[in-house]
Amino acid sequence: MDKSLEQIIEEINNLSKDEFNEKLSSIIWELNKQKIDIEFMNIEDISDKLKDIMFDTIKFVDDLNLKGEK
Amino acid sequence: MIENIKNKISQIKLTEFIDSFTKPKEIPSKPLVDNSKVLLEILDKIGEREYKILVNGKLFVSELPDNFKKGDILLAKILRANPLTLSLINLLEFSEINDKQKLAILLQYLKIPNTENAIDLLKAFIKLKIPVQKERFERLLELISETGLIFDNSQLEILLKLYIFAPTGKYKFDSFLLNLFGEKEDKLYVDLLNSILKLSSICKDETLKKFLYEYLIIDIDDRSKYFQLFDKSKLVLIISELMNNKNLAEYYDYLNAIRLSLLKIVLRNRFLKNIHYKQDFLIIKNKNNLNLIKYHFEAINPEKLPGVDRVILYFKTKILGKIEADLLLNFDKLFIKFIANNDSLSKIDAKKDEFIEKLNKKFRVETKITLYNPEIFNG
Repeated sequence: MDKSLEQIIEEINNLSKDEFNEKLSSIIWELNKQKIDIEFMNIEDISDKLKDIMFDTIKFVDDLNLKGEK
Repeated sequence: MIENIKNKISQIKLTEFIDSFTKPKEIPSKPLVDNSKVLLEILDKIGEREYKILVNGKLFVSELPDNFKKGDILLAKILRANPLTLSLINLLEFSEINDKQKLAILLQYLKIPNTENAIDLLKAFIKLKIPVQKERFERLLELISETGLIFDNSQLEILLKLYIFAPTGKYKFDSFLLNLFGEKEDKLYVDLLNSILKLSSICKDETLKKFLYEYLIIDIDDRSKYFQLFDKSKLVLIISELMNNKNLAEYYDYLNAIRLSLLKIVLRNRFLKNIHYKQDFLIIKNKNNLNLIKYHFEAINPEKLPGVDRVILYFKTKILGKIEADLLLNFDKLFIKFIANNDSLSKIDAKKDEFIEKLNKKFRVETKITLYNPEIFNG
């Protein structure tokens, strides 16, 4: 039976770092036939508070840009 | 790392010494003139950071901030002829960086043919304040030329940073990397947005609609779900799972196109991580339109100071042009520096008090916003 979206997201969120990287590597291999070791910027390096401020700044700049478009 | 080196190589003091054994006899001495450019050659490494250096036929000893090897040739600017003081990074004034004639003259010093690629690459070295070491420059130029691709200034700057950090051994600077970054970023995002638009216009399946409108396309005021998937590589895995769903077989090609664009972004970030850089995007629903906001960010806190967090956002907007927002959070103090041209800064200025008030209230911080136009300060 096909999985629901919630099931898929839960499963992915529960993957260990190695399992996650293995899955992603196999997709990369399938598409590019390239062996790539996966190592990404650890987004946890940025605090949640600054992450939230980042989004508000993005929204601020985007609003200004949209106003300029009118 | 580059930042630390930059400060140290803005001024290098050299001490002349006489050593007829080391000095190649065939090179005649030429006068050293303030503000002129010279090539310096590393003759020998004599200490941890100390080198014997040949400049215009004269021998010197000096400490250099980076690791060089015998035979390396570097381009330098003479800040003062006596005592000889050189800069390896401030080769041109800020206002001269786009002057192709000045760049061509520097290429002549290096005996490198004047091509569009060479001019643009030299500009990137100078802009990023990376010492122009001849062999390194020529090798990167060769790799870029071999691809046959045309890279714009921002692509070259990223490639240069990746090239400088490649010797750390964490990745290979090869044709795969060059081709991955060879695709214009704008095209990559246009392809992504078009694939999403096509799929959202024909999609009748509720699971897929939910994925599109709750996780891929976001409501910027309700980020709870989006935060779960902040990392775009998770989206790649979800799409792969959805592609296995038999009920979604008719959308397979659309999903595959979205997955391919996302995968390119994810792969680029795999390399960019090494220079503490990330390219990201948000797709926001605005009435009936989808709006893609593309931004880059750099996580900077090299000393890992507790309570201190810094991110620089880079925007390339349709109306306002390029804007940088340098965000520094120091416990409950938030400093934001907007870097842009005068037109954009005046628009930001008109709305900044409102923004400060919002941030102070929402995050319980004390915000200070400064506006900076680099052309005024450097031009």
